[in-house]
Amino acid sequence: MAAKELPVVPSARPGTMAAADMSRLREQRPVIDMGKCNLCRECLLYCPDAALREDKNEIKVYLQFCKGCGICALECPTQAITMVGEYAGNRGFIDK
Amino acid sequence: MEVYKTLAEIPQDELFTGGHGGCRGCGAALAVRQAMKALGPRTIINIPASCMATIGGSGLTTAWMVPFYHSLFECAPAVASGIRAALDIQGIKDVNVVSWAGDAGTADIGFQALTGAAERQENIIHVCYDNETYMNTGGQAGSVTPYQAVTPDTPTGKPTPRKDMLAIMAAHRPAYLATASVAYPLDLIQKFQKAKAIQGFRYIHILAPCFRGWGIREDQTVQLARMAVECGLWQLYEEVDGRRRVTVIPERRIPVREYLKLQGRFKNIDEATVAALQAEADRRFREVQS
Repeated sequence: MAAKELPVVPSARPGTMAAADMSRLREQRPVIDMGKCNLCRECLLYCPDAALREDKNEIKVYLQFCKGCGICALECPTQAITMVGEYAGNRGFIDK
Repeated sequence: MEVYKTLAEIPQDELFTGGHGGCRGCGAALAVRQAMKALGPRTIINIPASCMATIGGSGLTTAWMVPFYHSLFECAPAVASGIRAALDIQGIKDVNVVSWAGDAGTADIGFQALTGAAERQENIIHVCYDNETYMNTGGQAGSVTPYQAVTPDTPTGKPTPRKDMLAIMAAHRPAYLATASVAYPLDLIQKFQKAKAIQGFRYIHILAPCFRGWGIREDQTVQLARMAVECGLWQLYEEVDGRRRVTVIPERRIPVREYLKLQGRFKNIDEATVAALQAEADRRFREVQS
């Protein structure tokens, strides 16, 4: 590799953390009502985890990255996003 | 100079991917994500000890899609100066060299390296992501922690006021100086685009709330960053050649008290301090209008 092709971290390949699954941290997940969404794209830039993407005029949630902080639901100007609990039944048991 | 005018123009490519090690609702990770949209893939990031150094991974995995170097606490701007010198010798011109430090790596522990790099007019961008405490080690008070904020080592409130880091950096006459907030992503990204196009020492100070340190809910990170601007305690501006231009005048104004009362760390704040902060915010708004 030429010196001009910048090396990344010598011990880690770029973006390897993207293989991690954040679902274990999540207590609630965002659910988007595309009927209310006006595609302002604010949520895409307010997500600390890059868990929201726009694809063919639709906002999609990548649950692998989502930690369930709820910033998107609080900031959505049209209240199109609601947070839905991951737990059902007794607290501490994940319904899968 | 072309900058993005709308959110729709901003690329969806992630140079700081999801799956990173930040807390839920992390303001620091949010600041990096937004800034990387403007900095682009030809960037070398250099981070001293801070939350951000660990969030992006270390050892065998990383969330960065660009070269990332973890330096010692005291010397991020000095290491960035060295990286720039090495690139210059190799004739590589199109790379942004960024030292990305927290408020401690900028205003306290990293300050001597920062003031040195600014004085030498090194061709680097220094970014301070400011969560107003030492969050990586448990939230101790630092020199930019606000007056009367409760932290683990100031349990009754910090006895001294916040250091005005922007005035200190402005006194170095940098080529570009700006404040930003994670609640105004378009403004933040435009400032990074402008900084990228300028040669010389550039300084950007981002307010990036930390829900644990501030005593707020994890979904309030962006809300509080916006309220800081709306109440007037954090002003969004840029300075080129010493001339200041306010970039965002908030659509609504709120009293300082409303911003402070949401934060658990200000539970002991007294009325005289609130009144003094309100007077300072009012003075800044009057300056903008005149």
